[in-house]
Amino acid sequence: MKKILSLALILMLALASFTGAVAQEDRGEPNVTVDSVYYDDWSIEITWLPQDGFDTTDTAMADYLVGTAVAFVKDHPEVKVTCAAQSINIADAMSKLLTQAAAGNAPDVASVDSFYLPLYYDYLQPVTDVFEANGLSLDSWFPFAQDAMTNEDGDIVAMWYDTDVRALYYQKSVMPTPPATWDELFAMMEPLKEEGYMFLYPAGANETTSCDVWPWFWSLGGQILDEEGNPVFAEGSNYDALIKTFDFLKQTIDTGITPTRVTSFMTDTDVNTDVMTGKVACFVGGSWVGTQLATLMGDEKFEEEWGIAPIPISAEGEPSTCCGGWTVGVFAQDDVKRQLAAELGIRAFISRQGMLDYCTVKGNIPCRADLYDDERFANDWQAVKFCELLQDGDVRPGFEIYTYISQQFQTAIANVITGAQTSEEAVQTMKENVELY
Amino acid sequence: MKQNALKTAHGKRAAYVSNQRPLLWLLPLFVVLLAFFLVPTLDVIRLSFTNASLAKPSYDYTTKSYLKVIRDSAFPEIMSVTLIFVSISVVFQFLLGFVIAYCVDKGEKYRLRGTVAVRTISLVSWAIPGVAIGIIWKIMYAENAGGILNYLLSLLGFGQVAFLSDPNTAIFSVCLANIWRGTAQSMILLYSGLKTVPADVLEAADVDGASNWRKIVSVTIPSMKSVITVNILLNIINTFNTFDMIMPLTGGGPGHSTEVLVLGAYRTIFQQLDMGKGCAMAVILLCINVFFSLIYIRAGKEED
Repeated sequence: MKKILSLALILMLALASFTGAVAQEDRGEPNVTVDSVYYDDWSIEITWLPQDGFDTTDTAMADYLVGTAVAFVKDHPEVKVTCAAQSINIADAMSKLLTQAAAGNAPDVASVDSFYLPLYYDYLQPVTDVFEANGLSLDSWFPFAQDAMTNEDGDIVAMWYDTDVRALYYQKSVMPTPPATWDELFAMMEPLKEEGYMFLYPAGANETTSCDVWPWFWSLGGQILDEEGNPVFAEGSNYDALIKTFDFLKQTIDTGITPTRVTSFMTDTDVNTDVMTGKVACFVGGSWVGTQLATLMGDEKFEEEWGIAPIPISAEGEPSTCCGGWTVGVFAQDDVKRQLAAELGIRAFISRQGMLDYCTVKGNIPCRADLYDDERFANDWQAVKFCELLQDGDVRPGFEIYTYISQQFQTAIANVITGAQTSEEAVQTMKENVELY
Repeated sequence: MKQNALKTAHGKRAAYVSNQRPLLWLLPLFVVLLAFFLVPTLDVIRLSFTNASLAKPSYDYTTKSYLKVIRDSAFPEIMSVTLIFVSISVVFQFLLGFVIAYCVDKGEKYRLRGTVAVRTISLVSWAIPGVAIGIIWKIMYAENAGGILNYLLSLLGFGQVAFLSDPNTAIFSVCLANIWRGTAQSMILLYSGLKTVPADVLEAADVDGASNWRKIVSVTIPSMKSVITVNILLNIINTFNTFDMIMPLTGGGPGHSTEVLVLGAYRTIFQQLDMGKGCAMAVILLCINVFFSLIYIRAGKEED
C-alpha cells in the first residue's frame, strides 16, 4: 500500500511539474474583456488611453488595439492592460487629460494631440532609455516632429506616431499644372470662375481654419510667438506678413474665386459636397480629405481627376505647410510601470511594425520618414506626395496663449472675409485682445 | 398604564419618521443637491475669482478674470447676440407653441382626426438632442448644391441666401433652428394650460356674442396667465443655456456673430483653457438665470 501511495505521489509531482513547465512556456490566451486584457495572476496594471478604445465601432481599429494588448500581455504576463477611449471632441479629451495629469491621476500611457503637447511637458515622463533600447532614433522622424518630442533637457517625453499635412488639391482637367504662387492662382482662376469653378479653404470658427491659413503667414516669414512664448504676430515683419495674408484672403473673395460662405466651413471635409459637384478647381485641405474623397468617388477616379501639390504661396515666400498628428506619452512615475507603459506605447504606435500597422488601420500617414519605403505607402501616390510636403512642415507654437491667439485669428479671418473689418483693423483687434490675455 | 406608554412611544416614533419630521426624508435629497449642485456651483464661483488654467495646477485669487471678460472686445457682441437670440427665440417659441396648442385643443373639441398626430409630430423636435438638431439645420441651411432651403428658394425664383456665412443673417438662422427646437415645450405647457380654461366662462362669452379673437384675448389668455408666465420663464432659462445646438451649426461664427454667452464660456474654458475667465462668464450667466428663476418661483407662488 505504501508503495502504491509513494508511486502515486511521485506521479502527481511529476505531472504537476510538467504542467507547470508547460504553463510557463505557453500560458494560452489571456482574458479579453471590453476594456482589459490580462492573465488571472496579473500583478501590475497599466492603464492605457489611446484615441479609440477596445469597444470602438471601427472594428479594424478595435482588432488592432486588442491584438496589440494581447501580444503585449503574452510577453509580460504579469501585466494587466486596462484600456479606455477618449472623447471624439479633442478639446474636451485633452483638457480632461490635462486635469487628470495635474491631479496626478492620469493614465499610465496616453495619446496626446501634438497641438496640446507642450502643455503636458511638466507631467510626461522621460522615455529615452526605452526608446533607445528598442533601437529607435530621433533622426527617423520628420524635422517638424523632432523638437516637439523632446523636453528642455533633451529627454524624449513624447513619441509622435502619425501626422497630417495641409496640401492643395487641384482638379487636373481644369488645372493641368497646380498654381505655385498666389499670382498664378488668381491668373488660373480668372477664366475658370466664369465657368463656375471655385477655390475653397475653410474659414469657419474652428482650429481647422487656423491650420489651413497659418502656412500662408509662415511662408512670408511670419512668427506668431517668440521663443519665450510672447506674442509677436503684430510686430515688424510679422505684422506685414499677417496683413498680406489677410489681404490675400480678401482678394480671393473680391475677385470672386472664393465664395464668402467659406466662413461656414468648420472642417476640411466641409468642402466634400462642393468637390463632388465637380465645380471646385482647387482647395486647401488636410491629408485625410484625400482619403475620404477617394472613398467617396473611388480610388481610381480620384487619382485620375485630382492632383496634390504644395499650397500656393506669395511669390516672395518660402514653402510652408501645417502639420498635426498624435503622440504617445507616459505619465506613470513608478519606474517599472514607466518602462512597461513606454514599451506598450512603442509596440502599438512607434515601432516600425506598430506605426505602419496603426497608420494603415487609422488611414493616417506615418511621421517617420524611413517608413515610406514600405509598400503600403511607397505604392500610394497620395502618401508619396504628402511625404514630400512634410519636409516643409511647420507646427503651431506650443504655448498656452496660442489657443487664444488662434481663436482671435479665426475671428479676424471671418471679419476680413465678410468685410466687417479691414486687414489692418482685424490685426489691431487681435493685438488688443491678446494684450488683455 | 404601561400599554399606554408603549402606545405613546410607538406613536412618537411613527410621527418622527413620518410627516412630523420631514427633514429626515429630505436629507437624501439635500445631500444630493449639496454634492451635485451646490458644491460645483460654489466651486465655479470660487474659480471665477482666480487665474486658473486647465494647463496649470496652481492659481492665484484675483478679480482680473471679470475684468478680462468685460474688456474683451468680443464681450459686447456676445451679450447683444445672446439677447437677440433669447428674445427672438422666446417670443416665437411662445407664439408658435400657443398657435399649435390652440389648434390642437380646438381640433379635439370639434373631434377632428389627427390632433394626436399633430401633438406627436410637434414633440419630435423636443426629443432630438441639440447636437443632432444643429447638424440637421446645418444640412438644411447649406449654401452649396446640397442645401435644402436654398434649393426650395431657387424653385420659387429666389437667389441663394447666405444663411450661415453672412454675420447679419447667421444669428436669425440660429434663432429659427432654436424656435423649431423649443416650440414643442411651449406647446405642451400651453396645451395643458388651455385645458384649465373654465368652459362655463367661454360659454358665457359665446352667449355674449364674443368673437374668437375676443375670447382668446379676454378669456383664454387671462385664464392661463400663470402657465404663460412659467412657460416664458422656462424658455428664457433654456435659451440662455443653449449651446449644444449652436456648436455644430456655426461654432459661434462667422466671427462672433452667433456666439452666445454659454458658448463663449465653453470656448474660453475648453479651447482657450482659461478656467478663470470662462468661470467668470459662467457666473454672469448664472446670475441671469438666477434672476429669471426667482421670477419663476414667485410666479409659482402666485399661482398657488
